[in-house]
Amino acid sequence: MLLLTLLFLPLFSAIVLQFLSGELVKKIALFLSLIPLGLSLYMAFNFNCPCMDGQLAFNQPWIESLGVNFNLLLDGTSLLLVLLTTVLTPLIILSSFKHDYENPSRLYALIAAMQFGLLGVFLAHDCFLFYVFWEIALIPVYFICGIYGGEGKEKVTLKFFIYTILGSLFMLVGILYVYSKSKFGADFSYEAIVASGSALSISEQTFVFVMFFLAFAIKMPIFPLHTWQPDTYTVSPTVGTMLLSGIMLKMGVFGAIKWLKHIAPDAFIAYAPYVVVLSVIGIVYASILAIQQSDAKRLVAYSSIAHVGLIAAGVFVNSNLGSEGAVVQMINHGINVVGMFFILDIIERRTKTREIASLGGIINSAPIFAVFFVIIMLGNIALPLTNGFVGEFMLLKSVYDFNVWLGALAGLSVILGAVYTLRTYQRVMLGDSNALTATFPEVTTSEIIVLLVISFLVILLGVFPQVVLQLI
Amino acid sequence: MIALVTLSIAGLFSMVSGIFNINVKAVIAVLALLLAGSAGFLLLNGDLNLDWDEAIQSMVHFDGFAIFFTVLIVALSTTVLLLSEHYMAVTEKYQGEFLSLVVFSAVGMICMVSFADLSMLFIGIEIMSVPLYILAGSNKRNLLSNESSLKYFLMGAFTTGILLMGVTLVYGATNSFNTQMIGSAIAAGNASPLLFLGVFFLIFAFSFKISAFPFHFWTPDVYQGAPTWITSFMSTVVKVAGLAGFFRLFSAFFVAGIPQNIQLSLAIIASITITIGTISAVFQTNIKRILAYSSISHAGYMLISIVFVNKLYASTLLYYTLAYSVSSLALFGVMMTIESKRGSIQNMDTFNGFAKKNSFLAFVAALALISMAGIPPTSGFFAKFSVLKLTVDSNYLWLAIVGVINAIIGIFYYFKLIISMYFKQAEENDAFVYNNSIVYNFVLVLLVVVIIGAGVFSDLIIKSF
Repeated sequence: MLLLTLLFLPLFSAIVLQFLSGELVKKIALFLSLIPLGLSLYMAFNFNCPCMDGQLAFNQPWIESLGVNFNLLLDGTSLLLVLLTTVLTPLIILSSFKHDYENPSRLYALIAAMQFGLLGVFLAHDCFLFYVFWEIALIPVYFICGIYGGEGKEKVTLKFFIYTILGSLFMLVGILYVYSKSKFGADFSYEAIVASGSALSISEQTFVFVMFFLAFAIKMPIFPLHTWQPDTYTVSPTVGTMLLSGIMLKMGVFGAIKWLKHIAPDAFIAYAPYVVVLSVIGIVYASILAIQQSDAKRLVAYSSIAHVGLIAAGVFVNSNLGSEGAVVQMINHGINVVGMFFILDIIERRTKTREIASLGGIINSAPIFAVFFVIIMLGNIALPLTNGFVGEFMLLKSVYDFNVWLGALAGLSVILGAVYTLRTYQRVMLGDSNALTATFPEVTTSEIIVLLVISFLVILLGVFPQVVLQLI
Repeated sequence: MIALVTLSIAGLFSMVSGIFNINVKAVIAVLALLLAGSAGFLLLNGDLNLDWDEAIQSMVHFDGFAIFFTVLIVALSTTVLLLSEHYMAVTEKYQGEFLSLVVFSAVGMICMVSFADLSMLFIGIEIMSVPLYILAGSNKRNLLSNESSLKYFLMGAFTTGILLMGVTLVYGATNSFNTQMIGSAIAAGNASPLLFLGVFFLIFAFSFKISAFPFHFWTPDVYQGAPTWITSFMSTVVKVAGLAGFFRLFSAFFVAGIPQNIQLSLAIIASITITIGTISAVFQTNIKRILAYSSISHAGYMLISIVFVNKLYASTLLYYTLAYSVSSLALFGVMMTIESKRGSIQNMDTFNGFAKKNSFLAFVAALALISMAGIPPTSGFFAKFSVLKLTVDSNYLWLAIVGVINAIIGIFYYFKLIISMYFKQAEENDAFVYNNSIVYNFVLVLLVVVIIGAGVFSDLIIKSF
């Protein structure tokens, strides 16, 4: 029952928020998003306690004629991603407080609806249900980017939408195919689909693998299916970018770990090397492109491709270390990237520009802001004792074990990452102030809260990675 | 039977209402009550058990299939009648007559979904079609409307000939008009080759009625020219009746399973219909033409349930027709509102910035489009899913892939409209204020509830069948 409450609370908030108006909407949205946070924290602290027996799963027939059950399951990995979602959503809402969006009730309703879809994806333990939530999560973010986005949003968001739905529909074919081969009673439950999928011959599994892989690879995105991503991140409003990069791309990684790996196990082993190679190419390619960007938001978008490339490589090397590293890094990347985009948002809102070249010397007028920037930046380049280090180390080690040369190439990402991140910091924050940055106002209370929470998480998960590791 | 009688009486009442100067709103209210009442009665109690049932049993037979489709057709017709507000506002004369033609057309459809004899099928199709020829041209001062009516009439009359030819050939091969007898003759395997020629003629005739390839060419012109209210009727209720009649005919003919060659031909027709509808829609700019092509493509998806015709799959067809019709009607409902203020709707730009002007109507339209594009959790998704599941279950994987690829292309033009409404700015001189009567908005809310509710609780509908 607890799970059901957790899942449907955001949907309820979305409906409530839709009918509100006025200044108070922001605060109500924040308040409503804190309830799922509290609930999920409660579940996390009592995760191994016997009092939670029967609370971590929910199963109820839904569409019996199709063999679909409303089956939810909370295990370690999904708990972490649920926590990521419930922690980031209030932060994202809080980060938008300084913006004056037109028709804010619609924006916050969409964010809540998005949270509903995301939680569903991470909780679903039925293939059909998983697909339904996978799609539900896409619609709100499409509207967020389309309604509140910047220049050229119509084309960019349509490309994004068609790209991702293309992948999903192929996944649908894959699901139907596995289902049709099912000899274990006609239903879509995780167990039945996995049993049916793993019993297929290698050529049939290849088909299934490709169908699922397309969906997940586009969402992550893995090179060369990433072309929708930089444009979409740049054009979207910061809330949309945070939702996309912080949480939504984890759907792809999560799907690969939970579903793809088990539905087509033989094909997964057979084709994983190619995917690892693609991921490593993506890491190097995106890092090099990131160095050349002049638009800070675009730079972070490319750096996100590089980071996710490493995560994907960890998933597909198919070792325990790799998958654990991937889960850890998913959480850390979610926190760091939201932090980075928020910092850029603060800068852009004050100076009206994202051009790195036209900024500089912000540290002189906003020293507190600079401290937060340093912490989040260090997390992003994976300095020891920050959260990024733990995950990145595990992932690099797993790729290195898989193939030394690929490991070395992937290691480049750390160096290149340091290059573009530090350079950005240097050119934006240090140096002489110019007309744009001389009067840069210091961060306000609501901004400090967001930055404080993110910095706290960066350091906490860097010093005590067991918090995350023990749950996997 | 009860619906057949009630609707005939309701039609007659509406026809004479003009003579007694009864207000058109009162007429619509009475019609809606009668229709909704008979649909509700059928749904709750099944049909009346009358003494003379035996006598007409060989002509019309109200089994479960007939009752469910009758309910659907009558309910959808009621919705169409309630959405006639804007059409009636610009029609000066013969309002009662036009309403009665819609009701009479629905009477024909009830014959089409309940027939047990080929002659009854023929009569049903004609009763349905003749009012449509008139209605398509009901805006008589508009050239396009005239063209639409003439085109539809000529093609329709031609198809009637083909239909009759098919009936004759089937009769010649099996010695009977009764579908059950024909079914057993086919199952016995001693029918002459003429039978298959007859069956193909019947396929052609039905292809015309549901606008499937290769008889779909009339659709865009007729849909564009006819008044939008009539288009909404033609693209939903008429299509439902055509497909249900088609399904009933073939499920009675091929009791022991559909022959391979016919199945393959139908599968090819379905796949081409889907593809042509989808791809042509991409290149259209006029909204009514886009919807016409989209309705062709949806007809292709619905045709898939006939490819694997089997009494068990009737629920799939029922569900798809329901999902498609409510989504289309919701969209047409919004379009008619816009049209009533602007005079006509042409291209996408008409919808620019619509979400800011009336967020309720924009939401209805967006939801309808999302449902037509087949995205969860709307009923359109579950409909498409159950059709695709049929193809995979029957080892027609290629048909599933055709369906999926076209679903992706479909999103492209459905979402163009959403982009116009939500993402684009309205033109500066756009000062239109859109409003509807309470009843009209209530119907739209009801449609929204069905679009989502039928999706989330699809089991209730599929299982109750």
